[in-house]
Amino acid sequence: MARYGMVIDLKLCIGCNACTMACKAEHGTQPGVFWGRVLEKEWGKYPQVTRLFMPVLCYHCSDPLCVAVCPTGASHKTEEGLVLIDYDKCAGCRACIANCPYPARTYVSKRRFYFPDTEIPYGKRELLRHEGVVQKCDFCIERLREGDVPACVEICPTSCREFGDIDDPESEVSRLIESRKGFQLFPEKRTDPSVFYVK
Amino acid sequence: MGQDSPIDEKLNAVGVKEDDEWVVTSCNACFNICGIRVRRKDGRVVDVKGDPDVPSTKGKICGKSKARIADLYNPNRVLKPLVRTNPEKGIGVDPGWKEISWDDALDIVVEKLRKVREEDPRKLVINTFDLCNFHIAQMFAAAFGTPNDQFYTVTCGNGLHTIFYQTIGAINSEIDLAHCNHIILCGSQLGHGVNNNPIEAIADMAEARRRGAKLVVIDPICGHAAAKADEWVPILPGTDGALALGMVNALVNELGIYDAEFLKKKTNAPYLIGPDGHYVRGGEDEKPLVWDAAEGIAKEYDAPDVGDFALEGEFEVDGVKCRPAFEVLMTHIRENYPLEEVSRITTVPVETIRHLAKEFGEAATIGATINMKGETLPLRPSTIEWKRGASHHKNSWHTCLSLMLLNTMVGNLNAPGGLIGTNPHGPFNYWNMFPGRDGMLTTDQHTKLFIGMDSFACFISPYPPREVSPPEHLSLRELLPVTGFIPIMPIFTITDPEKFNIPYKPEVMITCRTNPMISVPDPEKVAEMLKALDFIVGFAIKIDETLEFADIILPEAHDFERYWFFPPNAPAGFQKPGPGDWYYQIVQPVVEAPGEVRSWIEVMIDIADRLGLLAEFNDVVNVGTGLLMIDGLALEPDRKYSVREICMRQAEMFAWIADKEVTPELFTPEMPVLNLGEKSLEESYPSPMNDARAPIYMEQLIDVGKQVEKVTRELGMDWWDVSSYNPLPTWTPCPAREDTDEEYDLFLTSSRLALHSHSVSADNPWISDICSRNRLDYNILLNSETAAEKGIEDGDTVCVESRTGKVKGTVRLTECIHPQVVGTLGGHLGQWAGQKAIARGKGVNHNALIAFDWDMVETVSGQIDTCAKVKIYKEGD
Repeated sequence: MARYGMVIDLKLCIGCNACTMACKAEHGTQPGVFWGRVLEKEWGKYPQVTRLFMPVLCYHCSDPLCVAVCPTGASHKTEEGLVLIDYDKCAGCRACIANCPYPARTYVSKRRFYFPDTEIPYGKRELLRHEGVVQKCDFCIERLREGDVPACVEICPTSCREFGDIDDPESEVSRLIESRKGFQLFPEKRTDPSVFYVK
Repeated sequence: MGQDSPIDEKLNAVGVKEDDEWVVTSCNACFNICGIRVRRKDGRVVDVKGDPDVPSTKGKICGKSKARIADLYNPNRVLKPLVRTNPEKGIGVDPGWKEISWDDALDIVVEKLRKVREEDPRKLVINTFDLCNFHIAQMFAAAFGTPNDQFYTVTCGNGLHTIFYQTIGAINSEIDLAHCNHIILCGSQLGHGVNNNPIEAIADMAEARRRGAKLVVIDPICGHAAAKADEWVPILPGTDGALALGMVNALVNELGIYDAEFLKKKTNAPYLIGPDGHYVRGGEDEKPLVWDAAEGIAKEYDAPDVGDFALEGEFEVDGVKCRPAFEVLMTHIRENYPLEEVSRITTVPVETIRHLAKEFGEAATIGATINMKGETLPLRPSTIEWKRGASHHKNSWHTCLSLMLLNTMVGNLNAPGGLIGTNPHGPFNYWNMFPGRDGMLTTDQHTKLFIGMDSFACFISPYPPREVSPPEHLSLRELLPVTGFIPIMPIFTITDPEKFNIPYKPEVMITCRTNPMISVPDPEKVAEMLKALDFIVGFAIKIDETLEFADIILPEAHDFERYWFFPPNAPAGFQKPGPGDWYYQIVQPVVEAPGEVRSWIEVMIDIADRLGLLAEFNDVVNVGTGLLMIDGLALEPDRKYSVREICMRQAEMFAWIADKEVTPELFTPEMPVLNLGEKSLEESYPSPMNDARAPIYMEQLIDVGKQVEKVTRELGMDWWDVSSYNPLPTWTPCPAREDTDEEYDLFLTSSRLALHSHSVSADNPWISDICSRNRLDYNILLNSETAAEKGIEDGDTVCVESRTGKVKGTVRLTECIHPQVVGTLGGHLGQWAGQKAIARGKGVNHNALIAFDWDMVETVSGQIDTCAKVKIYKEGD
C-alpha cells in the first residue's frame, strides 16, 4: 500500500501564499481557519538578515499522537497513510490539538461566513456544516481519489511541493528526500511525519 | 448535520439545472493575463485553475486568481444603476444613491454627452485601466471627437517604459531566465509573484535557482524577493540611478569590463560627439559620424567599410574636436560618480558597489556564444532588472537609462541570458524594432497595435521625438515629446486647465476599473480634480473611493461575466518574450451577470448608438482592430454589434493571418488557445540579429529640450523645467531628499505582496484573511534600532506623518528594512469607501503621505515622484 507524502523545498518557497489560497478555495474553510498556510520568520541583524517562508499543514504522521489520544475514534489513519477526521464522530474535545506537535488543527465552534449570511461557493460544502469539531488538512482526499494531486501542490507556481508515495524508493518524493537530505519537523516527537522539508 | 445556507435555499427554490463545466478564459486579478479554466457548477463558479495548455503559465496561477470567486459573490456588488441625490461631493460625503432604471440612467448620460459634444467634444475625458480593452476608450473617444482617452491612474513608471522602448524595443522587460546565471533585481520582485507575466516568471526563476543562478536584490525593504536572494543590498529610496552609475564606473572605468563589439555595432557608443554635445555629422545625408581607428578617418556610422569603430580617444573632423559618445559618457561618469560619492548618496558601501559590478560583469561572459537553430548568438547570462521601485522617482528617465547602461555595457540586450523586451517583433512582422533616425532603435508597435493612430492606451513612441506644440491633450503629450508613457497628467490638467494652456475646460468624465483616489498620491488633490468636473459617469463592480464622486453609477460586470476584445494577451506585453509559441487566449463569460449588471464595453457601444455615433464607432473599430483588412469581417456601419461578435471577428482575423481556422473546439478545454506557431529565432532574441542601435547617449534631448523651452516660454509657462533634457545620464535627488528639515527624518517606501494588485485586491475577503495574519503584512515597518532610538516598541500604534498627510497603524519592528526608512507592506490599503466591507480601515494608505504637486514631476518622462520624508511617533506623543 502506498504511503502518501509530500516534500517541500524551502529554498524555492517564495511565501506567495498561493497554496494557502488554493486550500481555502478547495475546502471552503471559514474565516480564520487555515488547513494549510505559510509561516514567516526572520532572524539575524540588519543587514545580515534571513527571512524564511515555511509552508505548514497536517503532516499525516505514521505514528500520529492525535489518533492515539482521540477518545471517539474520529481521528484515524487510512491505509494510504492519511490521517483523517470523521466529522460525524468528532466530539470537539480538542485532545488532539493539545497533543499534536504541529500547527495543523483548528477547532471550529460555530459556522461563520466571510460575508454576512452569504456562503462563497466551493467544491465540498458538506464539510462546513459541522460545528463544534476540529478540522484539518486531509491531503485533498477527494482529489487524490480522482487522480489529482492536492490543491496546494497543483497551484504552487514555483513547484516547490512534490507529492507521491514515500514508501516507493523510485518516486520523486523519495528521490528528493534521499538526495537533498529531507528532514521532518520535530523528529524528537517520534511521530514520523509524511511531510518532509528540503532546504 | 448543519442547516442549508441562505444560498442553498435560494438555489433549491429556483431549481437550478444541473450543470458542471470548465470554461476556458483568462484571469484579470492583476494586469497580466494568465490562462485559466473556471468551473461552473449549477450556475455558480466553484473553482479556478491554471490552464495546463497555455504555453507560458502551464497550468499555474497565483492566489489572487483563486480568490476571484470571492469577488464574484461579494454581496456589496452594485446590481442596479444609481443616481446621486446629494449635490455636495467630497471624501466621506454620502452621495445619497437612489436606484434608477437603465433607460433613465442612459438618458441622463447621453444628454450630458450630447451637450459637451456640441460645445467641444474635447471636454470629455475617459479614465480607465481596463488595460487590454483599451480599444473601447480609444474607439469611443475617436468616434466622439475627444483626444482624451489616455487617462490611466496606474503609475508603473514613465521612465521605465520609455527607456525600454528605446533600448530593447518593447513596453516591458523580462530576464531570459532560462539562460541567466546572475540576476540583479533593483526595486523589483520579478519571479516572486509581482511584476510582468508573474506566473511564468516565478516558474522560470525557480528553475534558474534550482540550476544555481545567483540572485541579488537591491531594495530598501527585504521583501519576498530579497528574502530569497543570495544577497540583499539595502539602499535609500530614489538613489538607484546613482548606484547604477557607480556600478558602471566600477565596471568600465575600474575593471575595464564591457562588450566592445556590442557597443560598436549595436549602440551609439562610437558616434562622435562635438563640443556642443551634438553628433558630428557628415556625408550627403548629414549622418552621425564614427571614427574608423583602422584607417584613422571619420566615416558615416553605417558605412560598410568601418574597420574598427573607435570607442575612445579625441579626434578632429573638419576642424571640429570630437570624442566618441562612449568616451564622453565614461569621462562624465568618472568625474561625477566616484564610488565614495555614490556610497554617500545611496548608503551602499564602496566595497559592495565594487563587488556588485565585478560579479555582474564577470558573470556576463563577454565574448561567449551559444548555438541556437543553427545561428551563433552572444550568451550574456547576467542581467539587472528593475521596475517601479527604481523608476518611480523624479529622476525616472535618467535612473532608468543609468540602470540600462549596465545591461548595455555587457551587451545583454535581447540576447540569450540577458534582458529581453516583451516581444519587440510582433508575430508575422505585425510590428518590429528597426534602425530609425540616425540608426537608433525605433519601434512601430504603437501605430501597428492600434492602426491609424499613433498610440495605444497611454503608450506612445518616444523616438524619434515628437513635435512640440501647445497642449491639446489633457495628458500634455505635446509638451512631453520624448516620453513613452503618460498615465496621470490629467489630474493636474483637469484641476487647473488654464495653468497648462489647455484650450477648453474638461467637464465630463467616464471612469471604469481604476481608482485614482487610492492609486495615486494625495487623495485631497485627486478629490479637487474630481470636484472640478461637472459630471462623472462611473462604472462600478463595487463603489470605490473615486466612484463616491460620481453622478451616475452603472453596474459593471466581473470578468467571469463578460467578453473582452481579442486577444486579451497582446504579445506586446502579455505573451512571454523569448523562445516559445505565439498564442492567443480569450476572455469569455462563465456565468450570467447578476441583477441588472452589464459589461461596460457593451454599454459604451450602446451610448455611441444613442448618440447617433454608431457608424463612426464601427468605422473606428474596423480600422483600429484591422477587421477592415479581411472581406466579410468588417462591421457594417449601422448595425450594433455585441462584444462577443467583435471578439470572434478579431479571432477570425488572427486565425486568418496564420492561415488557420476558428473551429468549434477553439477556446474550449480541447483547444484553449489559438496557437499561431513557434517564434522565429529573430523574434525570440531580436537585437543580435538586428542593426538597430540602443542609445548610451541621448543626443536627441538637446534639441527637443530647446523646443520644449521655446514653446513653454511662448505660452507663458516659464515654470516648466527643462533642466533634465541632458544627453548624459545624471542622478538628481528626489524633492523629498532635498527637504533637510530634521523633523521629517525618515524616507517612506512600500513593498508589494504577491496576493495584492492595484486597489481591488484589498477588498477580497480571502486575501484579507491571509494577509492580516502575517506579522509584517498590512503594517508599518520600522528598523528595530531606529525604533529603539525613538522609544517605539513592536506592536505600538504609531502615527506616520509627512508634510502632505498623516496615517495611523500598527508598527512592526524588523531587521528587514533600511534604518532610515519607514515601510508599508501590502498594496493599496487604508481604503475607506462605504461599500468596502472588507478593505475599509485595514492597513495604512501609503499614498496619503506623498505629495502630488507639480514640483514632483519630471518633465522629460512625465513621472511623478513617490518619495516622501516622514516622521514616526507613538500615538499620543
